Amino acid sequence: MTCRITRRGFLGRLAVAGAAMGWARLIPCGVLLGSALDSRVEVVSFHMDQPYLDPTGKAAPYHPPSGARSASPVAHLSEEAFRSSQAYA
Amino acid sequence: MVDFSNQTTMKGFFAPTRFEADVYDCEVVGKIPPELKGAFVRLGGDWFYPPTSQEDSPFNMDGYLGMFRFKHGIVDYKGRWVKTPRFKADRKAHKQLFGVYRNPFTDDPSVHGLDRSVQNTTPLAFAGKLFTLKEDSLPYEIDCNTLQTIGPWDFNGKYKSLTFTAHPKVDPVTGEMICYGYEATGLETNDVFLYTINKQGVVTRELRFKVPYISMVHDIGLTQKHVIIPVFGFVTSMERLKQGKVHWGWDSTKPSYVGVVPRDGEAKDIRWFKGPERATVHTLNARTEGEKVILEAAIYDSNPFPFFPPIDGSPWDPQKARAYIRRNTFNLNSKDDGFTEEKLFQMNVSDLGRVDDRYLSLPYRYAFTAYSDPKRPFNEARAGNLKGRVSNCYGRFDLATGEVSSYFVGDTHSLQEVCFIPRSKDAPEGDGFIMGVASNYAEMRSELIIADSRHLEDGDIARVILPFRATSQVHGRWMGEDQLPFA
Repeated sequence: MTCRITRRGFLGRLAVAGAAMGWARLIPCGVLLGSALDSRVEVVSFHMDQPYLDPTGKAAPYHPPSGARSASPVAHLSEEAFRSSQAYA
Repeated sequence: MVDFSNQTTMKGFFAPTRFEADVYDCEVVGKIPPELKGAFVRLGGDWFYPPTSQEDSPFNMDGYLGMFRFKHGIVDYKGRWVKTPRFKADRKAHKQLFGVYRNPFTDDPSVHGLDRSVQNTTPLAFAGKLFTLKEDSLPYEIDCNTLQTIGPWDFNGKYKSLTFTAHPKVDPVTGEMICYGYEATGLETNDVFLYTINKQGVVTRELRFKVPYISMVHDIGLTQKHVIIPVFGFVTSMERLKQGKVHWGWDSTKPSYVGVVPRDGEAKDIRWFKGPERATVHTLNARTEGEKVILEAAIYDSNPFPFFPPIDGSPWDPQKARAYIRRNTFNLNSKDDGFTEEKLFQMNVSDLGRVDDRYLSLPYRYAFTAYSDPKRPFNEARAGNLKGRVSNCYGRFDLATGEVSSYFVGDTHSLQEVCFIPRSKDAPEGDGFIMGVASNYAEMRSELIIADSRHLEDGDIARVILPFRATSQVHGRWMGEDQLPFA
């Protein structure tokens, strides 16, 4: 069973983490900054209400693999075949 | 075992969504206009179990109701199957027991005689009740708060037709509903029963007549004096049904007929006008001007539905499956059975058009409908290669000036039927909001669009986001808090 994190759940955890960071101001800044600078700047984004990590740091929008979803799987259909299943698409 | 894997068209965004849903306090981009108090109710269908034949019609899908409830600027969504006897029988058997569209000869023998309606076409609020409509059966009453199915409604036994149209007309002047059933006395009968039902829900008038040939009478036109009844190319026969085919086929040799009958007339008063091959599936509005009766509608050149194929075996022609807003004028003083036809706009549009319902049966100016604008961008990388095949705009068509103002939904979206909601009860015609559900192919979700009808070019003023794909819709209606006993 996979544990899925929702957008709201993630933001809730982020808020808790933020509060914890506020409390941690007592910790010397160099300790926190040092660990942050060691890692790449990754960006959290969302797709279909699920967070994912953009490792490029460019906050590029997520593009699904071609044909994997959306309207791609039916795009090859003839007009007749397409409208046979979708009278009012 | 449910298996949709061999359903070649039910993939991606168009794969079945088989769940019921409640979303409280939906995500909203923009601001909900405070004037909107009530619900946008949409009815359509989805396959709970796969169809028994690849040749079946999408109009045979199980009915599914979706309701966006607007209250205090907050929107809740609820989605429920219409729990017909057919739906329950299928669930009990864990498989599809019913054969192809409106053909009981193709059913499993275990469901012989059971109401086989799927209730998937139009929601209706009338006389304080919510109904689902499907033209092969009686209306089904629905609890407007829970969307639970109550059951068929025959207006206290006074509605005698076995069938009820998906397009009754409510006269904004009297509050009366003009409705009808075709194949009214059973399968393959040419009887039509036309009713007037007062705003309390009491049948006050019945007119029985016959159509020139058995055909789909999906919609009518209503004026203050007349009812207009289009009959066109879809044909059926008992022989056809016993061969296991879907109910309708298209016969291009059949002329279109349009019946005009006074609202207080008798069967002998019906006048049948005859025209060329056309398909008037849905109407916009109609009016009587002296001795002229005028119908405006987005009318197809020929058969719009490939799943009701030509009976002569010829291929379905997508070039003729285009609808244009046209005006048909019937001269009651004429000596022949012809009528005039004008194409009011040269662009083809969705035939699911609407007007300001306060002007139904009366002179009016504005029509609203969706259309595909090929000049607008379509992001094929994110949404798939459906450019030009889906509606990306809602238009407000000014029938007085010929102007079209346009709302563009975005480069990864497709629009379903539009609905117009007046800003207030006494707002001028066409002043209010347009509303409809958009399919967001990139994000695999549905979004309810709300735009100001006076400023369509400015884009939407709010989008209600569903975090999933809502079932496809045929028709949707706005239902105010003064129409239904909402909690």
